[in-house]
Amino acid sequence: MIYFTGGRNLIGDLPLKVRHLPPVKLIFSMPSNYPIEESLQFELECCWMRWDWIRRLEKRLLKIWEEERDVVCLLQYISIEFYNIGQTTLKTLMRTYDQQANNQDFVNDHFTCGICLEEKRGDKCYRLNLCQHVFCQVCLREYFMMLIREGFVIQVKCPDPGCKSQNKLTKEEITEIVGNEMSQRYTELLEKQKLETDPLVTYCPRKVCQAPVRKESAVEKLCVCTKCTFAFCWFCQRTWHGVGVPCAINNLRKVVQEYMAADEATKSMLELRYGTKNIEKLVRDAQEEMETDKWMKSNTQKCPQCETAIEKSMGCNHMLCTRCETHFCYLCGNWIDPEEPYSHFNNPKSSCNQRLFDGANVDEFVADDFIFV
Amino acid sequence: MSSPRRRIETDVMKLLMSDYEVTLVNDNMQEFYVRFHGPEDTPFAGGVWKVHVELPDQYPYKSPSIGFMNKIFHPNIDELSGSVCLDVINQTWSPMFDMINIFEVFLPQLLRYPNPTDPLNGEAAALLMREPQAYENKVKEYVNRFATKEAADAANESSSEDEVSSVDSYSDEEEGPDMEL
Repeated sequence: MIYFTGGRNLIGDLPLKVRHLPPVKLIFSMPSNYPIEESLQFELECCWMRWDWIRRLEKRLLKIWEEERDVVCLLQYISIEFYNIGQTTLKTLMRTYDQQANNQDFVNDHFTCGICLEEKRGDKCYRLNLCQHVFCQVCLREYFMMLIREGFVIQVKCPDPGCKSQNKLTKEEITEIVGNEMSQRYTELLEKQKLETDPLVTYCPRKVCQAPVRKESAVEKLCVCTKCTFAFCWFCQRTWHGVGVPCAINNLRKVVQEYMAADEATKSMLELRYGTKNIEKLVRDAQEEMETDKWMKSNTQKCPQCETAIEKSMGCNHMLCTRCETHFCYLCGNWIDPEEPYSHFNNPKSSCNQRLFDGANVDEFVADDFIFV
Repeated sequence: MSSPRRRIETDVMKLLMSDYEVTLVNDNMQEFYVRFHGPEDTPFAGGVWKVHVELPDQYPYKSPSIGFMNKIFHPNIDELSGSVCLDVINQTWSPMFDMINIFEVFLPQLLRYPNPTDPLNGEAAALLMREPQAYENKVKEYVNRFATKEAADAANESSSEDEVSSVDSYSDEEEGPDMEL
């Protein structure tokens, strides 16, 4: 079945669906020394093929004779080989021509970009594959680059608010629009966000590596980095210490706590044992971590899906994670059904009942409030 | 980073052509005030608000910021700051939207159909859900007190006073830029 679109050399402007094409005529004569020394003298006649296709087809037919010389090839001409041409070459030719013609039409056409509202020639525009919506290349590039730069990769889709196709663009399209570097960042961010929502993924603790590592099972704490083969502990993120050994991090915390609470004599003893610089660093890190934790605890809520800490700047307690679009409650941090987001706040059994807008205006109130929930 | 410069101009021109009263700030097309009238057949009818609009450098790739300068009693508009909680001008903004969409469709729709389940003004939301009549009265009361033409004109950066009359006499660090040294 062949579809003709665009009316360049064809009937009218309507697409035409055909099952049969007018025949291709093979006018031939056989020289006396055929087929040993001379080929069949022939000419093709066809009303719907372009002259260059006919020439190409003739060349192919001639090649058959050149390759097989002493074989009688007339039968091959009219059956096998032509059948092949009809099925593959012609199809390719037609498709290629059709695409070329469509592209040419597009390039020569003019479009008004719905973003900058300027009319531009087709060669300055881009047509999205899935929905066929057209925008100018500059706007698509700048808009998508802004979204990718700021990490809103899930928003990279057709900018038309009425567009029914909510599907993602293909990687090829994105590369074509924003270039290799940005497209790579897009893919990385998308994968990273996917990994971050996976509870069984951590990152290699070696600073030079930091490759994502997937844990084989939920109970196993041994992780082996797939990139650098570094073996480490899932819990304490340190070099693998064996199954029976408790995680070093607990020990360190204890040391730090002990050190911070100790008198001068004990302090110097601990410094001697663990090294002054080590201790200093541990204390510094622990304090920093405590400060950060304190701040995070009182100013943010973790997304239940990807665990990204989200700080609410304003609005109600029905939150939408900016990273993975999970709906959750800012008060208790629980997942909320996106279909019925407010039932969480209207359920007398829920601790957040009637508290949808608790602390909506006063930041401090929110902070104090949910710590003690 | 380039942005379609003409889009900003076109959008502001379109607003002016649609008979909106627009006051530019510092002769800059990127910051201005628009006089917005409450939609008819709603308790907001007759009200006049001064709406602050700021277009980011990346407009229209990024959404404009919208704020009510004089007070309005509405579940999805913060009473103190005037910030508007509306998905189409935040998360689901499309670069194909423009100012006309905002002032002719989004804002009137928001006033006409408040969403008390996702409020910025909890009091307004609670009142709307429990006592719709009291809500309507309070909206009208606010319109009469804070949304007159004079109040809209007088509204400046600090519209956090309780009384309209105190707008002029009130003066501290929040006073308008023209008073600063």
